[in-house]
Amino acid sequence: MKATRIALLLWGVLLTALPLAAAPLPPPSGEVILTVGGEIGLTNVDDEAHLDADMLAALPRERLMTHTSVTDGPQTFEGFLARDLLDALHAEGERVTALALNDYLAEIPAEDFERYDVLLADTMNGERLTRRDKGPLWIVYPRDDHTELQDIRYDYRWVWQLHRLEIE
Amino acid sequence: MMGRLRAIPAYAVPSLVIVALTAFLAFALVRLFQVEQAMRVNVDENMLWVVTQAQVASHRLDQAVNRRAVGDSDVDPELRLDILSSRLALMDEGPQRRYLAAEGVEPRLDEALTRMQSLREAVMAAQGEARFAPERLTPDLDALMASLNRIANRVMMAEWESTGARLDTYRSSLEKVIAAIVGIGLSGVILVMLLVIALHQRRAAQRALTAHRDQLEEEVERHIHRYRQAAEALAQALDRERSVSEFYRSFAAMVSHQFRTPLAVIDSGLQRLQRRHHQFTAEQRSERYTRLREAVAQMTRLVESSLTAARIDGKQVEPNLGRHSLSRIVDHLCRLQSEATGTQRLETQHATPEPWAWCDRALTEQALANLIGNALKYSPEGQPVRITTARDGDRVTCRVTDFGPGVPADEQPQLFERFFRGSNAAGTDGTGLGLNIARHLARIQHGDLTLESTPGEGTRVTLRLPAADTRETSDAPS
Repeated sequence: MKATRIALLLWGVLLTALPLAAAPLPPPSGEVILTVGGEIGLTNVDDEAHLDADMLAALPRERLMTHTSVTDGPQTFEGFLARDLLDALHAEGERVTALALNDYLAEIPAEDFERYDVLLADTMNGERLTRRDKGPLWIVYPRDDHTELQDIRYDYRWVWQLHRLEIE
Repeated sequence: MMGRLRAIPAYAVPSLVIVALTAFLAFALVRLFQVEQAMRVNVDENMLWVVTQAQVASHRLDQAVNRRAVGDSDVDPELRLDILSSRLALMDEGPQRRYLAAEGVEPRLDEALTRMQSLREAVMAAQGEARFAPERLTPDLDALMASLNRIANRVMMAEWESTGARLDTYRSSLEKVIAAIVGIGLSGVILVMLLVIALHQRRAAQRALTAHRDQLEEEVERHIHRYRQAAEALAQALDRERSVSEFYRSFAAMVSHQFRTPLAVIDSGLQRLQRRHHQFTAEQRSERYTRLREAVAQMTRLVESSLTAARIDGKQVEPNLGRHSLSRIVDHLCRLQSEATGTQRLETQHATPEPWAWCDRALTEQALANLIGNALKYSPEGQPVRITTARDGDRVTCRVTDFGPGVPADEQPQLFERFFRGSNAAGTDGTGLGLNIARHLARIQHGDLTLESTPGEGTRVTLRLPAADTRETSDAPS
């Protein structure tokens, strides 16, 4: 447990310092929530990054308030930026394929994450997203801040029950 | 028709057309904007996908439950239950629920949610493998699937209806927009026509204005011309009047100045003859008669010369120009002179070819007669008087040369003055008008008269006249 703590701490330090050298990623200690594959610099299981709740929690937390196309009223989301995750994993790709638990698949241009503060939310209105609802992760665009995002061509990128990303 | 058109202001029609144009344009824009909005707001299109995904999730739960029952451990009924739960939760959200309520399938949604709750409770109620026993779950699952089926059915129809209705709206909007665009086009055509008509009218008005102005200018010009003519005629008349009065005045002056002497001579001669009539011999009487006649003759000449001079002064002399041979005029004069006085002193010499002058024959004869008379008078008997004609550039000349005493140099400039008589002329009768008249006559004919004299040797007077062959002469009388 202590070793895990240290590893996590190290992982956190690596994240905040944005290291250029690829250090090995510690193996997941808890239930894997998100798996990232494809063109990434850091891996821990085979050539993939298997990330558990603690590892994801180490990423900088962000809060975003926005309307969605499937709910009423503004919703407050918390989570981490897709950009931060990809940077932490040294991801190099043009396209991100997001997969949901129900096998829903959406292809997202990587530049979306550069241009907008796209959130991988794990909390909505202070409540943890579960897989009975939109959990464990929901890709949330800052829809209210950018009118061009109020478009069905962006709506399909709001993948919920996200559990896997493929970087190409 | 035109009157009625004039009654409304000129800008009314274009303004109306522009208002119509703006209205059409605004209408078209509003309609297009509405269509754009309608195409953007299409939440319901997502609905069929949502319901279908719920159906898929329910079928996969059914599948997982049944596979687990036959011992397949790879399937995860719990995950499938969560996913189905997630899909139903999504349908329970505000926008989705409202849509289903509007389509009248809200009871079906509630039924499905109730069944979902039952399924969850059934799973929770058991332990281990029994949790997903098909016989416990199937009734609720079947009912749930039936509800979803109804909902999907309804949503499909609703979406087709809505799509059809939207297409109807688009079509009607587009038809109206097209009508508006046609209206815009027509308004534009009318505007252009009005513009063309206005330009045309302006051009016509301008043309009329120009024509009118030209006409006015012409009229003014005509009036000015008439007035100028009248003024000129008046000036000429005045000039003529002045000339006439000048004629009489100078004639009167000459008469009073020149005529007294010969009249006094005649009067005293006649008195003497009257008083001493019987003392004179016949010879003496005859001599006195002759002198008296000479005095009368001089007076006659004086009257003639004075008349001529006065006529010249009064501009009463109009040259009648024509083509005449100067040598023939000279020959004619010499013959007349010889016949009248019996003199043999005149010598003539003519140039070849014959010098033709553009002149008035009578005036030229008079001038030349004066010159020849002077030459004979002021040179001694026995000396010849030489008369030559020649051509000199565009002029013809006639020189009259005598070999008399000549004129002193200081008197020469005054020779052409009226009534001037040289000091050498004392003792000869003369009027002092001959040279003056001759020069005037020459100048009237665009010629001139000059005099060169050397005291002790003689005098040469030159008459210059325009040469005839430098002018159009074919129809001139000779």
